[in-house]
Amino acid sequence: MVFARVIAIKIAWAAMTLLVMSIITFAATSSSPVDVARNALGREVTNEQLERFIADRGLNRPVVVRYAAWLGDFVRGDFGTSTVTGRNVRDDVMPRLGNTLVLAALTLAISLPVSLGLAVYMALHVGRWQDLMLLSSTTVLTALPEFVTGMALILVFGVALHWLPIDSTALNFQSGWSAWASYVLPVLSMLLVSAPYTIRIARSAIRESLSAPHTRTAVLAGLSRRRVVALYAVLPAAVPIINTLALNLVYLISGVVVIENVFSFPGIGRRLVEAITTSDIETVQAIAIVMGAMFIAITLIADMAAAIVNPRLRSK
Amino acid sequence: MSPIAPAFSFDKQDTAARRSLWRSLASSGNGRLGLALAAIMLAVIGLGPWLAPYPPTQIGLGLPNQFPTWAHPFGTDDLGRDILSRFLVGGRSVILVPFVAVVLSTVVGGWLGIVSAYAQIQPRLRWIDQGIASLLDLALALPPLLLALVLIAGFGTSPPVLILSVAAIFAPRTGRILRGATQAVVTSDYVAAAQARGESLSYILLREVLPNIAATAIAEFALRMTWGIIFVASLSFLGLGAQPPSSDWGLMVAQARPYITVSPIAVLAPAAGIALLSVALNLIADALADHLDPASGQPGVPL
Repeated sequence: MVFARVIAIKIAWAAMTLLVMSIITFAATSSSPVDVARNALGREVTNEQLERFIADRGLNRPVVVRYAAWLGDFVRGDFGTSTVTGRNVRDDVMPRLGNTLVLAALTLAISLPVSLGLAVYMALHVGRWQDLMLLSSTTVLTALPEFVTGMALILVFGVALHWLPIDSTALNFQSGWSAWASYVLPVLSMLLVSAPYTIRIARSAIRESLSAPHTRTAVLAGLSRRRVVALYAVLPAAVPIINTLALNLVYLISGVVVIENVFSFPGIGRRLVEAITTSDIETVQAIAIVMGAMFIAITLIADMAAAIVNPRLRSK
Repeated sequence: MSPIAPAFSFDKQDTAARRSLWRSLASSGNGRLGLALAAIMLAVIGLGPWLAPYPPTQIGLGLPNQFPTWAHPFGTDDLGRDILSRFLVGGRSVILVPFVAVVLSTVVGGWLGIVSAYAQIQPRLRWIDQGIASLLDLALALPPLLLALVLIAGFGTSPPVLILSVAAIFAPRTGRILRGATQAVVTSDYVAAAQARGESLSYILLREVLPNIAATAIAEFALRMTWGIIFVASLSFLGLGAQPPSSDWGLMVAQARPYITVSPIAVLAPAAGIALLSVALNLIADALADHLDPASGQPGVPL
């Protein structure tokens, strides 16, 4: 069956991409055995101590063997122990991954209805002032770096108005309202950064199907406005919208790194940058692989969703 | 040399393409706005170092985190450095690093794309195209920011590492765009004519192909510059780009972040600088994209 083969090829391709990502990560970040040992043991060590450390950790094996062992540990869920913090990397990363996923889920849950609603509204008012105003705001918003958008929100809602906390550190030690308040500005930043792009694509896709002959026929046949918009304008625009949403999700994964750092949000993006600045290689590797896997998995799922929705893509 | 002097027609085509690019930039409202804004920002960044009233890295010029005064119109930062001077000097690295990276990625990616598309029309060389195309596909499937962070984690934060990482991330994207543009050109009659005349490969690529994809390449360059500035500024903001005591705008925002309630202007000034610059370049890139494909009118994919 053609469809099954297409899916199989897509999965194999995704697996290969992840493999390449892991090779790049390992090749870039794993330093020479002596450097690893010196970093871990400090400057005042004897050669015997260095050699014992290298032998104990198996650092004297060939690079390919070390890579295979490293990858094998990952696949089994063993992320190793950080030489900088001395903690188990998995225990360190997982709670933060949870926070990041909550942030992403909240963003997506709000972004989807808001972007679609705005896109329909704009498509129904094409060329009028409401549409032009929203369109130029989306132009400006897509042009701004994430950290500028985040900082602007902090300046307005945190510094000038005092409505919301200026960072998300309350998540570390508080629960209830102040914990949830910590999510508001990060989610809002993610929305402002990612939604404009979806809105623009959805607007032009919906606009196209609104001016299509089948829509005109539906209007002339006397169908209600709501029915026409839902069935004849939004539904045919599903493929470009799903594709954009997927791009958006993928993009959110890099956006989240910057946004988390703007708000000191205790997620994996923040932890990744911390780990890079402290040369915590084990943690960098773990987060790079986890985020890379998420990125590639989302691309794969979106690819398949687009293939399922669009019958023309299935045969390709 | 053949009697049909192609060099002449090449010159004419080239300037015609460029002039109409320029004209369509200047005739669209957004393009004009972008050009004006970009000119202002480039003037501020270019002249800034001469206008700065104090050395940007001198500490203790005033009290820490001082409010704006006549002596320090933007106030001072946490080390008592003059924020206005730092702002005026700090724009250079915001533009320079992405510029070098994008030039590099355009040259490398562009040649990969052109060679790939040219090899495609020759049965014996088709494997080159297939090889380059799958390499580009693979590179495009990797998460860009994550890739840059991993490379920086491994090789440090020096400007060469930064430039090479950004160029490595952008090159496959430019490569794919210019491969597409070249595919349309290499199948045309004038390329077939040049081949029939027995022109050399470098002649065909440089004089027949390159001028005809120049407009696409310029638009792609403008678009990459906007993403490049955002990308590098974000890295500097994360502390992984420009390093202290540089007054790079991205780094300035990060360093002023802890004192945002005390001296918001230290965050506001550099953030506004980056915002205006990237909006200006984005408007220009959009106008150029509209020129190439008037039907599109859609923004590029974020990274």
